[in-house]
Amino acid sequence: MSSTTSGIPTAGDQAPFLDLTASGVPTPTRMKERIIETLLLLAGVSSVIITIGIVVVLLMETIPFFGRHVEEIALPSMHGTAPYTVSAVLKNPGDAVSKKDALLEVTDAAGKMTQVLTHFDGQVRSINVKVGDLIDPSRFTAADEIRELSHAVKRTLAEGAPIPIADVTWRVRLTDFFGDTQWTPAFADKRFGIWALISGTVVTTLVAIFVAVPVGTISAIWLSEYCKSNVREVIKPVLELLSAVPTVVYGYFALLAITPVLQTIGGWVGIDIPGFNMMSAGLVMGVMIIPYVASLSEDAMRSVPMQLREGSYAMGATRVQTATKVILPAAFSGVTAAYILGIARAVGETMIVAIAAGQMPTFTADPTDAGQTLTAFIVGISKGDTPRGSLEYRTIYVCGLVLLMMTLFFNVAGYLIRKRYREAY
Amino acid sequence: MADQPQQQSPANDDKIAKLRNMIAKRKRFDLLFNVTGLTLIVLSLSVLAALGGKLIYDGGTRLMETFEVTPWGQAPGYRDIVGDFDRAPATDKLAAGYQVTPVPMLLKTVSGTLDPTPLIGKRVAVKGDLSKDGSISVDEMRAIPDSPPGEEISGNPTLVGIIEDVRPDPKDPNLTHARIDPEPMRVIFPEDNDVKADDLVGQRVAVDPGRRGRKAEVGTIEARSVTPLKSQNFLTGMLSTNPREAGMFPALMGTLMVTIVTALLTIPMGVAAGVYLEEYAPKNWLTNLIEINIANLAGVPSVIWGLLGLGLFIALLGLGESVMTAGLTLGLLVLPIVIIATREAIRAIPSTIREASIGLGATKWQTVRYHVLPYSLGGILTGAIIAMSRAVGETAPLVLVGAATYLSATPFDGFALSSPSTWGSPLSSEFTVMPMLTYHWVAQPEHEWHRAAAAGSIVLVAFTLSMNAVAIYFRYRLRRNIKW
Amino acid sequence: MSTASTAAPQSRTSYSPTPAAPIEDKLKAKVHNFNFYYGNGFHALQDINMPIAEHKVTALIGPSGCGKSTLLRSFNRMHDLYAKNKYAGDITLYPENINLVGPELDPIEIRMRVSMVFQKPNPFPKSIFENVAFGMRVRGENNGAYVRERVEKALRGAALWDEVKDKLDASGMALSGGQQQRLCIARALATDPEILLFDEPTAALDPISTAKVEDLVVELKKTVTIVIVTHNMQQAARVADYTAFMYLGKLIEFDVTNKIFTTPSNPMTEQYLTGRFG
Repeated sequence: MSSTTSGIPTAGDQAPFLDLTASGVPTPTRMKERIIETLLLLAGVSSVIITIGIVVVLLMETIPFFGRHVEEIALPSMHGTAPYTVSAVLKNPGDAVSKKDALLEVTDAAGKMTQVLTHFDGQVRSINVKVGDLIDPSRFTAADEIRELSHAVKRTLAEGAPIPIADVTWRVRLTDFFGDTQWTPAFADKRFGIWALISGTVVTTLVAIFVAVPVGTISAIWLSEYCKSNVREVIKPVLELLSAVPTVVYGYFALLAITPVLQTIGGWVGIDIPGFNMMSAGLVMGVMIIPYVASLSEDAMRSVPMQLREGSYAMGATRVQTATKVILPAAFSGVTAAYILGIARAVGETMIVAIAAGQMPTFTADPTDAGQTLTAFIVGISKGDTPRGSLEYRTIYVCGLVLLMMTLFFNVAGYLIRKRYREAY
Repeated sequence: MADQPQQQSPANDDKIAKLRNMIAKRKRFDLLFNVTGLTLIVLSLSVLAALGGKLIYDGGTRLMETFEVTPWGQAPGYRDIVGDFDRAPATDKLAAGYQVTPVPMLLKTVSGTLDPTPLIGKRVAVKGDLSKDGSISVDEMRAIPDSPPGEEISGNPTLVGIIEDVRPDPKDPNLTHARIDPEPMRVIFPEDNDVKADDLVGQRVAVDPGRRGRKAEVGTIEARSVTPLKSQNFLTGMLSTNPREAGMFPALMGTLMVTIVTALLTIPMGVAAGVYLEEYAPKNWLTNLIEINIANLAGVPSVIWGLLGLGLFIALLGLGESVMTAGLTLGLLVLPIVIIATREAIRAIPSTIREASIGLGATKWQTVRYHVLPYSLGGILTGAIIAMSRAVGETAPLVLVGAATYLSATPFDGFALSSPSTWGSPLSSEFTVMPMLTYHWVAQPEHEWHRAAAAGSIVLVAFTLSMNAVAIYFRYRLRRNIKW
Repeated sequence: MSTASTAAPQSRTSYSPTPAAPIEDKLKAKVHNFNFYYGNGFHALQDINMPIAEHKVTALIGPSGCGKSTLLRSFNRMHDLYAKNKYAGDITLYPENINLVGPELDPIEIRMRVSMVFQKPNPFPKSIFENVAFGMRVRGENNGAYVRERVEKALRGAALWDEVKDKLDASGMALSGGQQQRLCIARALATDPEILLFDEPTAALDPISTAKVEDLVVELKKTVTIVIVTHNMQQAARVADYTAFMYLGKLIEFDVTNKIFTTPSNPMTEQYLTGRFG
């Protein structure tokens, strides 16, 4: 290899992989060219490797998330040894109205009796408990029902000092993941309904789009159809500075400047706006993505051929008529791509929502509520110390995968639409 | 002769009048739209102005404030009296020694119980607790007659001085603020002290007043320790758990280090990838895949890059929560920006230049090396600056790869060229960066932290906007100068 | 005159225009001492004087860069779209006797009364129907039945109705080049313009489409005054009643088409027509 870099070929120094040229024996320049080309190719391919890396890293933690989890369960110590026997079912969920609550009487091995109120949330559809059933923590295996039961035992009996007595294995099911609306991975009663986070992402994104699309579009029309080119040369870069401000600074602005203003306005109209709310985060995010929407839309509008504009003006159309009736339809795909890329930006935005929207995953459509987005959850969990391999650690990768899917969808759509319109003219 | 104007018909007149009416209406709408567009743009830009205004209002003074810290970077203890240390001549009652002139201080008194107004201009003895913000919460305050230093006074006052002026607390109506100009105080060292007092002369010091009995001599202070202080401000200060004294020097250094690592990774790699795609890549499925892929990577949310850094560099490669990890993570994040900018810059070079070079017998690499790269350098540089400004302002990935919220050192501490064992230490050491601190500070409930966050934001915005401005200027000049 | 005939026509000082004689027909417009300057200071039209006869076809011919398109685009103030262009002199529109290039007149009003068909067909990215209805839409006309009636009339007028009547909702851009151009003519016709300007309408078309458009121009002059710019002398001879020959920003000769093509009075015209330059 030393000869190839110094440029002096010596016999026997030709690495076989270099012997690829048509003429057989590589000349120094050819070898050098070959190496350089290989290096450049590697750099080019690196992006693909990075993408694969992202997907692999996310999947590496996501797959175990949906796999088995082992959890230490504490049961009260006051009743001696397991197993507990269900000695009476005072209210069987099988025939109760709610099907989720059961009042049981359990007896431990020593014959001591206690009442247990079990409470089954969304995780368990229904449960049948019969007199004589054994609740044996040492034999707790995969059943969600038993996990729920043991949680319930813990909750209702644990007035004394609980001691860990058994490992419980359970798994997060996809039906819960996509069927639940509560997200409480850090609580004792763990719930993994991703919709709580997706709703936060959707609400903040909608607020942002509500700001950025009209303002961005009208600004784009103004820049492309109304203003002189030298004015545009100044305004466009200055407008783009809006997206150059670090997002953490926007977060500061949203929390400490916009939220107080919103609270004042909310006070006038009688809406109580909490200190953390999705509205202020969304509004500021909207301002941040105005340049994306405006700049890309304006590019699309200006790439509409002049003949179309002249055709419209020759019919006596005003500028606004030309812009809305001719230019916008002609630049439709480009403008749509701008919107979609703006949405992708808003979906992936992290710091503004992490700072201003709060850290409470809430399944809500009300932007004046506090809420948590996928991104804010990831950052929020990571800010504390989460041991690797723990459930919390895995949840952030799961959320990352969901987020990646969402943004990938918008980005691919935007890319394809943009590519199509580029070919059109 | 048909040159004469023909007679007009009234019907035609009517039609024209209608037309003009309609046009006037349309034009009013057009004007309205024009004004709306301009207003919206001005409004968007005024958000930028409002943002700047808010930051300067909240953090501008914080950025300028200086505060004194001990040599180990801590604020003086809350009981310490801060002042200028000097020699003191002998008097009737005291031998020659040393004295400290405390800095002017704020006295906080509860209105009603203790009215300092009649004391303006008078010499007073003040007893109270020094509080964290450098003021004294007054327990007792009374006028005392002029007496030379060394005379005994009851009540063991904390300070003796002259009340300069009194004004109400701007926030709490129950408090009154009085400003006191303290007299110099004799510093009396305990017998077993090892303070090298001569070295401290002329310096700002913190004196730990020690414990005293009920009676003491006027204008003396018993020093348990005297610590020289150095002045620092937000930019030169170390991190602190006290919001008033927190600086961001370690974060500045951290940002610098991380950005260097990022630049070293991303610029060569991004330029190489851009050159490959524009000059070498054949038109095949792989190239197509790479192109779509890069467009997508540019849109991957930054927090996902953080997950990549956490999962790859920390969990798999074991690089730890270090400058290296952060730099590599950000390097990957901004890589698509550099690739795209390089490609655009190269694409702007007309193919005639390449043909001329190839036609003279140059190889492809020679063409790239001597023509394509030099001519596209401006565009590549612009892209690189934009990429670095993005890296400087990025927060989320660094939260994930463990940027610290408190550090007692900079990545450079312990870095000595003389010892090869520490050469790698800046890269593997713990780190923090400016946006991380800003995020951490914003999330604190106290207003004082918010001031620090605003000051940090100002620094951050100044960095990123000036980098962007440079890039915009470059782009502008490029467009002006090169006409192919 | 005789000296000009022997001099090289490329020399700026070697030709002198022949003043346009008054014409017999009723006037629709008259160009009087008209000058035009582009934003970069270029004096593109110099002292143009010519009549435009009502319900006749007037052709502007001349070599590339002679200013014929510039003159045509002055009739509906298309030059106002670009900053710093300047008109001087008059283009008087009859019967009201108003100056088309006067600053007191709104270019939008003029464009509504003086329509234009461009060199390259430029249908909007809308349906065929909406393309034709565009002129009415910008006038705020929303009466559906009325618009449909006018669209059909305009499409019939542009001899396109039979080809598109079943696919009015199809995109205007899906038509062939010749159909697109006739669509643009229908679009211009739909609002009853007083003058219809054609800027080399057949330059981008094949011979069959060209013949259709030419037939259309002859047919249309019954209802509207037409000014047509053409690069093709035969086309001018076929469709025009009057022809103006322009060269380097000046009107060299204006006359009845027959006269221009058979016995031009200016030697420059003759040289151009016989193909010695241009």
